[in-house]
Amino acid sequence: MNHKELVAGIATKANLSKAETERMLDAVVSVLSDELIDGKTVGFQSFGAFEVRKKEERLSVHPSTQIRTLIPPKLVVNFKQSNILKEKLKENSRND
Amino acid sequence: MTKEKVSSQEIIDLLAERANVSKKAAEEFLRSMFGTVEEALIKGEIVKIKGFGAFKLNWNAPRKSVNVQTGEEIILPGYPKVTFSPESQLKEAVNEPFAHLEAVVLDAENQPVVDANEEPEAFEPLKIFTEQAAEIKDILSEISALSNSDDSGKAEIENSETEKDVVPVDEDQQSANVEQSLMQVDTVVAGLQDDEEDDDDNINAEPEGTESSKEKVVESEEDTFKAESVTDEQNGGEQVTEEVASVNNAIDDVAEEQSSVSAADENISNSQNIPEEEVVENKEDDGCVNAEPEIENKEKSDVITEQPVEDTPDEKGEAEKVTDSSKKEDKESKADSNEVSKKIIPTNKTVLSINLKPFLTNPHKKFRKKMNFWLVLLIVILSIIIGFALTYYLSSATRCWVKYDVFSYEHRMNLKQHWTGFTGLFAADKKTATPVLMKKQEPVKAEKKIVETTKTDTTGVVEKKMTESIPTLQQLLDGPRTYTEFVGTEEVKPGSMLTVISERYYGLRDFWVYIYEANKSIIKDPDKIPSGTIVKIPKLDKRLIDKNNQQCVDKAKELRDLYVGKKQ
Repeated sequence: MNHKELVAGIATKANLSKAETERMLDAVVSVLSDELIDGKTVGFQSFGAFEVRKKEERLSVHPSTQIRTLIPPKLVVNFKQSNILKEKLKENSRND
Repeated sequence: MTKEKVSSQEIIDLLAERANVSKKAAEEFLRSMFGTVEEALIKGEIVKIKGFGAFKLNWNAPRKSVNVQTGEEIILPGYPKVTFSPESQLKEAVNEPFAHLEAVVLDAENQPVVDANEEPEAFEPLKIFTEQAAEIKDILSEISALSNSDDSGKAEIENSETEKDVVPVDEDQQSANVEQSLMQVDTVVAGLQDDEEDDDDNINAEPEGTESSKEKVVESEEDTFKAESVTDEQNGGEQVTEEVASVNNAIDDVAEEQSSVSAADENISNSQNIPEEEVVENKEDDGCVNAEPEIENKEKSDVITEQPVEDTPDEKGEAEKVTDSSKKEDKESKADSNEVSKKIIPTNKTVLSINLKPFLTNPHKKFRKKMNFWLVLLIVILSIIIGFALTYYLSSATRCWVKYDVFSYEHRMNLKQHWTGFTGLFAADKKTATPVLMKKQEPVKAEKKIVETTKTDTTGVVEKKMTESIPTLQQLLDGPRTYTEFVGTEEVKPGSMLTVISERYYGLRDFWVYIYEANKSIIKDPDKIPSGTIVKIPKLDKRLIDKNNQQCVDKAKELRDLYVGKKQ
């Protein structure tokens, strides 16, 4: 499902125009992004939590050349699904 | 980083504010949004949100695990998992605090980086010199352009005028000579520069054949130089450099060269600005320096002007006088430089080729010489160390001979090992088959020698003992083994057995028996050694652990049967 399809799906569900949905979706994305850039964890009970994690620096060794490389630390966005979502998906897969 | 949690309510508030909608609408929108995503995920679709990322449903397969408390094996059931992969846009935005960091290659870095560091160091002086050479060339070309116009200006001046030009020379010299004590270095240089120019004028003005052959040569050369339009200013520059060198005694050649050249540049440009009024200008300059002697000088110069032909000899004579009479360094330097400048003019071309080129190439050569010098020094030191080490090793070996021919079997064993070790060293070096043979033959020969020597020294009884104590391979195999030297220790770990250790140290598993023999006190059962036991690895005669020799292998097996059988 790409962005367009998503917008269409939300629009039908929330009874909004596509333009309005698009605007709202952009707002959501910007809000979430801002929070994440600030290093905050954003959690939605029914869905999951977006979290910024720090990956520590590490040494990687090239398996064939044996060249060691120091990989710097970095911040990554991690998503952890909520239990509610997990159960929902599990049930669904069991039904399948 | 403080991990601040933001609840969904706060997000709803922010969203309502940003999208200009009511909180209810915002909440509704969020719910429908996540609902749509969920539905799509359940369908097995990948949900992409522009500018944010993509959600994907994965299946975590069931896996085995162990109950920590009971140790029972359990199977963790598989479960679906939603993964989120952020878009690069979001990734970069989030990672901004560490964005400046880059992966560093450590191993590859060691060599090339060192080289890169060395290279700039190595070629820095060269760079500097080439840069400076380029600068000097530029300046010289500028000066040459100026001096060309100079010459043209001079050429316009008639003979009478050039005669007048001669006058200021004497003035300059005299006034300068008289008052040199008062003059500063700069004015000296300036004066010298004037002298040079005047010298040039003289040469131009003087009819042929009036003076020494030197100046004829100079004149002819100068003509050619005019055509070349480079040499004049090079003259000036070079003379000035030498003058400055004699005056300042400065150490830094480069800086001097530059400064002097620039000084020359200024001087020549000054003179070039008013080529026809040179005479007046020179006079004025001198007048600024000192007014009183100028009058006298003028009188003298008036006299001299009547005899223009004799001008230059007078100059020379005066200069010489000055050098004789002068007590101050300034005077000397100036006189010297005068002489030098005159000398340099005739041998202009050679001086150029000698002075300029070495100046450019010298640092390079010096640097190389330095490098070579250090290389040679390093090699010499290394060879000395190796020589010392060799002599020490040899002497210690001979000392062993002396010490240990005191008969005991044990010591003989040690000696053997020592010797075989020594020959083994060479064998390893040459990597040929012959030293291996040598290894076996040489010790025997050496033994014989010692027997001979001891024959002369000792009684027959001792001799008997000696012959008995010479261990042949058979004796080594049959005789009792003593373990006095150890090549190392090994901690027995679970799974590592004596055979493994033996293979590592002796090259064959069967020789584990010797390790066992050496550690009999520690090891009760060679098959079951408690882990953590530290086993000493004995140093063995190389012949005894020759895996190519069937005798040795048989012996080891015999011993193994002995010990294993004993146990049973």
